[in-house]
Amino acid sequence: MNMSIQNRLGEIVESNSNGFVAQCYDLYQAPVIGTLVRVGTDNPTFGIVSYVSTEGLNSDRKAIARGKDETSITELYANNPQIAQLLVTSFEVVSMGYLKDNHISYGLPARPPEIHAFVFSCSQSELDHFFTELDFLSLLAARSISAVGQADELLISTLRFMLDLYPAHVTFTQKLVKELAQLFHSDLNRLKLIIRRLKL
Amino acid sequence: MSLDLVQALAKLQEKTAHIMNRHSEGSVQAIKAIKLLSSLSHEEIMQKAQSGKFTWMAAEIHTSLAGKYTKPAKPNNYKVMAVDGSQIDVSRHAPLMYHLINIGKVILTYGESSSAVLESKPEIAVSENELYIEDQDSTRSVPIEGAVLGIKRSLRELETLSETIATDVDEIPTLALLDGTLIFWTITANSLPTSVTDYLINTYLIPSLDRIKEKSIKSPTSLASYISSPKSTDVVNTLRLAICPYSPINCDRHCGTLNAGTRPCDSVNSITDQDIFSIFLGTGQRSEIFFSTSQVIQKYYLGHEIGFFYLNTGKEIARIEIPIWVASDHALVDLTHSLILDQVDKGLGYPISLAEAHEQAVVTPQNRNAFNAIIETMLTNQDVSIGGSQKSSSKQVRWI
Repeated sequence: MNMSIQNRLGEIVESNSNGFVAQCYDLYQAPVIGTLVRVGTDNPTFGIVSYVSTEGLNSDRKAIARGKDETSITELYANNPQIAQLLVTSFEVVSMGYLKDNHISYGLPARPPEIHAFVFSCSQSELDHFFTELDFLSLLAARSISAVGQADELLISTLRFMLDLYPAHVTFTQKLVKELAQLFHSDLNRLKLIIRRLKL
Repeated sequence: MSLDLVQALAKLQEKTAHIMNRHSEGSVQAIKAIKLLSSLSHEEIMQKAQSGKFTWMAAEIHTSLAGKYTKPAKPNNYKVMAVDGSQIDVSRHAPLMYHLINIGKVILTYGESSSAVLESKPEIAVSENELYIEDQDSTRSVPIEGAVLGIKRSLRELETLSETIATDVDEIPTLALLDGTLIFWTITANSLPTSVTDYLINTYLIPSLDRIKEKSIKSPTSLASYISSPKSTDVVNTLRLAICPYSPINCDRHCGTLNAGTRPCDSVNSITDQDIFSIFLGTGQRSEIFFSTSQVIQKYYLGHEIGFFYLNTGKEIARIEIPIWVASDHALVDLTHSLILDQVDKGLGYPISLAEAHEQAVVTPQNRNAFNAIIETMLTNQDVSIGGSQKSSSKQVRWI
């Protein structure tokens, strides 16, 4: 399979300056919260998955409980094969930066991505490139609460995603903690909470 | 206010006061009808029917009247195909003369490799030969709109179902399901020229039924239509013949001058078949198979005569119509019986495949308005004057 198809996570169905909503091609196949994703190939936009939802394809049709007599969820889906066609999984992404002249600019893109633009998972080199600098963390910290409705959940998920990428990289972890310390120097309780959640 | 609800409610109360009385009279009649079902011989009734002259459309009976059958086992692997349609009728007030038929199709496969296909396909008719059917015997053309468009839509639903079945390579037991009736009596009820009726029958109806029948010879395939809350009285009308005291029956001669309600057979005049079978059948049971004596069947359905049975789904009494080549095959009748009950169960009271086919087919008022707006934009972009009618404009802009 073509790599660009293989790495495709979904397709944008809503877009604005702050970010976008992408629809997955397969039910329940959204990237986890905190994942860095890419949109477009020339001058791509980068963003972080902030919210995942699965709901009825038509907003006026709600799912109802129908498994009273089923022994497992697999059996329920097999006995009601239409369900998978009537539900859709989407994920929201907050835009965090874009690539211009081979240089990552952290912040919002000048124009939001187009509707139907493909959303891809990032390659290792793209992840390395984006996480070289940690300037985007301040933007993420500012938007973390509004993105998922719970204090710092998005920030913590993103930090976990980053730490999982470089598990044995002590320097990277030190750099990250230093950046967090600078960011929350006036709110030590918040910093303590984040460090504790990350089990650092 | 466009509808004065206070006035309307007052009139409604006045006009529905008698309904409760009629309801209790109906229960008495239904119990009487069940006793009749169990005591009558079908040979006797059919003899009476054959020698008599009557106006009722009575069901033809090939076996006993009082048979009832419990739910058969369903196969492990099976498929249900359902088609439904909706339409946008021609509007004289629109800027473009067109009609649209939207066909919704659902294929649900159950068992080891369960899967679902849900799709809809719009068909738009704009040109003269798409909007009219030529009468071969005159210079007249019949516009495809209103009731005629309804007929064409129903026939296209059947045709789509038959094409889907014909191209399906699987050989697992399959039920092809339609909503409503298989008896296309409206074809003969709209004073259409003979050549137009023939065209509809020979282009759509018979080839579609032939196609499904052909598939059913190769692999277990049933065709059925599901009528929810049926109001039909075919069996009640048969009972009217049974209780008629005159021999031979001749409605005009013996009762032509009597008012409705005073004729001897009016002792079952307040009930429908549904009333009888809602008491007679237990949950999951189906009735005996009866055959419709509708004129359209006698005239055009040779080899595809339509039979029907009533089914207690646990939620309602449904009328299930099947062609004779299904009715005469016990295995296919059992397949139809079991799969419809399963579909109703999965659809929480109504066959899930039909519910989803309807969802695929439905054209909402918003869809219609959006489509008309697209047409207007398209015509404007092509510098075509979009007149539309003043009546249509007046409805859109409701000024004071």
